[in-house]
Amino acid sequence: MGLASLCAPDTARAQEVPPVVLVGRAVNAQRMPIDGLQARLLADGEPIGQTCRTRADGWFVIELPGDAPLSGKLSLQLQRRHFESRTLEIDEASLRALRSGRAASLGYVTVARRRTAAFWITLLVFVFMMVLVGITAVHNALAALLGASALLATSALGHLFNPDLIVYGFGEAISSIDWNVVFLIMGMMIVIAVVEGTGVFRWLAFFAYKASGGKIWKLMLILMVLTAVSSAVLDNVTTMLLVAPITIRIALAMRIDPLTLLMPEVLAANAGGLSTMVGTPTNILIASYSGISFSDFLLNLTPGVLLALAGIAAYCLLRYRKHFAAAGAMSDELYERLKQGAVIAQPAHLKKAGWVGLGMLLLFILGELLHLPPAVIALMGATCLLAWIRPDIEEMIEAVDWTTLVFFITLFMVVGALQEVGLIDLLAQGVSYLVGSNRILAMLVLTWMAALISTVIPNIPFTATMLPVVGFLTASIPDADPQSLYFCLAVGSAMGGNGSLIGASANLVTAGIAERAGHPITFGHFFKLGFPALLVSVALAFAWLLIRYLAF
Amino acid sequence: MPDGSEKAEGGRPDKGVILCPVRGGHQSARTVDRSIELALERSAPLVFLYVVDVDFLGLATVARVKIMMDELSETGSFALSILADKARDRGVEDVRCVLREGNIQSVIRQVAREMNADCLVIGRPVYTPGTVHFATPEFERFLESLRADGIQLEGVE
Repeated sequence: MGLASLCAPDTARAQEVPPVVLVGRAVNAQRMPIDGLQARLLADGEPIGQTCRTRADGWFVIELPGDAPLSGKLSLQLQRRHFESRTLEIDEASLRALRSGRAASLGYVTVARRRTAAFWITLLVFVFMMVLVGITAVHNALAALLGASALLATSALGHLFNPDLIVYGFGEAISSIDWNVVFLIMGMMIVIAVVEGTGVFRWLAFFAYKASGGKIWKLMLILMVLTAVSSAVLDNVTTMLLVAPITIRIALAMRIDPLTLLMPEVLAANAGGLSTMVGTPTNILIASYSGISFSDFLLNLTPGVLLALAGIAAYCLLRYRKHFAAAGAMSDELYERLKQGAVIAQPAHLKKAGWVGLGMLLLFILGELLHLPPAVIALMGATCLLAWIRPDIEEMIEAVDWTTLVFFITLFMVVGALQEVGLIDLLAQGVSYLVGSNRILAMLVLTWMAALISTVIPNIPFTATMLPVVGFLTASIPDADPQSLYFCLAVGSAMGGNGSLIGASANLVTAGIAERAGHPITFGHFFKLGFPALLVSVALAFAWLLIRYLAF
Repeated sequence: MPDGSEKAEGGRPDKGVILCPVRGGHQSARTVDRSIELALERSAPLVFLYVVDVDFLGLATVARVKIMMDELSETGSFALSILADKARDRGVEDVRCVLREGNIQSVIRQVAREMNADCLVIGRPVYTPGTVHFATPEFERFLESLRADGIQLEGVE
């Protein structure tokens, strides 16, 4: 951005006398840049020149007419909502430079945070929202919508009583929404809607049964691979929605407890989704915030995911070993019934979806080279598929989970408020205090903190909140790889979903389906099986990250 | 999806039936056994009822109701056929299966009236996320309302 666009001087005068320029960078206590800070110069307490706003990187440039009165005591005033107002006296050296018509730099200028009433209100609203989401009292989308509405209403009405009640303006709330994430998820939902109607999962699961030769342990492993691979391409919820019912039917036909197959499947789905950028909502959030590419996710996380899956598989084989001998022979009638249901309903649609999916995969990989944002690729893929298949457009629109999109939009607004009032800064300060400048400790703390917290609160809001904190740690730890800490967050938040029933939406959906089939998965049951799986999988994936970022 | 759409074997029985609303899992085993015993004791027709509901989707997604209904209908139908085979193997001559979609409580009451059910054999459901119909107080109220309808209840703990 040019200087002129930051602070337009009086052009006619500027042509006569060259302007003088004062620059500086406003940072907070963690030396993170402050955006939108008002900066103006005062001469003997009176404003001179124009007021500037700091950019996203914290820089401000005050341009003054060359003949501006620079006599007397010169000071810089910095002001912004949720920050202490600071007036800084211009030092002698800078003063001399400005008076002689040269530019002067103040370097880093630290501005302290101010905890206003809005800070406490935002904290309260955020905690309330997380509790609502955590206890599944209302839908996630409603909880986040309540949070965002409460913050906006407080800001809009509160300023009538006290300016300190303003959290942010509507424009600032809207600008905190990451539309790349919203459109990427929407595009993927449309593509998935076409695939899920083809019956490909019934066919795949039946094929898995045939390939296992009726051996439960083999069937378990094949279904785990199937769900892990599927959830790397589709989202975990869709994968389990499609795989769980057919799995239950196979288990019923084999006269075994369906949970013997369902639990390993859902654990594999949560871990498998981690390997690609589009496999989990948390990865989508991380990719959009950090700019990490699809290929980087695939190359840097897949080995860790494979290790974790091997660990989960070994653990499940051990836990369910007593169930393996229990299988009965499937009757011819039930086998035939399964076979009849395992037919691909729309082979032409599946073929077209396969080609489009392949094209999207290629574009995701090449996206960095072509400067194509993932959201654009997903929208291109969805549009291409809709134009090629020409499905009922209303059905396709219904297939988009609008509540999830509302959840993301309003969640971004709430997280934007946390950033605005300084809660994120406080969190970053706490984590930074804990890990210092030790990158191994930072990796360890981030991974395990994310994993353990994700067992008790849903991982999407947690990840969205932690992203600026990870950004800060990445910038502040001297030898930290720019990607490693984000991958730690990805591993912890995705695999943390395995720790409890409420850790991931896929768990809740699987429990719902299992309950409808008369095989309830209680909190206790899931925790007893899932939590040790979490410990095994996170330990293995973390070991890989250590090898990847310390040895290579 | 309209409440109470039906896929059933056979029509309305001539005499009062034993109605057994059931999910079909291992926790239903005692309920199923009791319903078979009663059907044998009274030489009465036995009707297994499976109700498809997808309320639990509200916890995660609202866009996949149709596909989930289809999948759960297929799973329910599969489970019912296994239960019917089991009852026939144990000697129950008239076994029927009813699969419906809709609100569990309304559908059970509706089917009980339609089938002129003499006795309803029902197990106490286990709470899992998304199961809102059968929280304990509500379950008790539901049983009371069925008793008020003149249906004999055979509760299985």
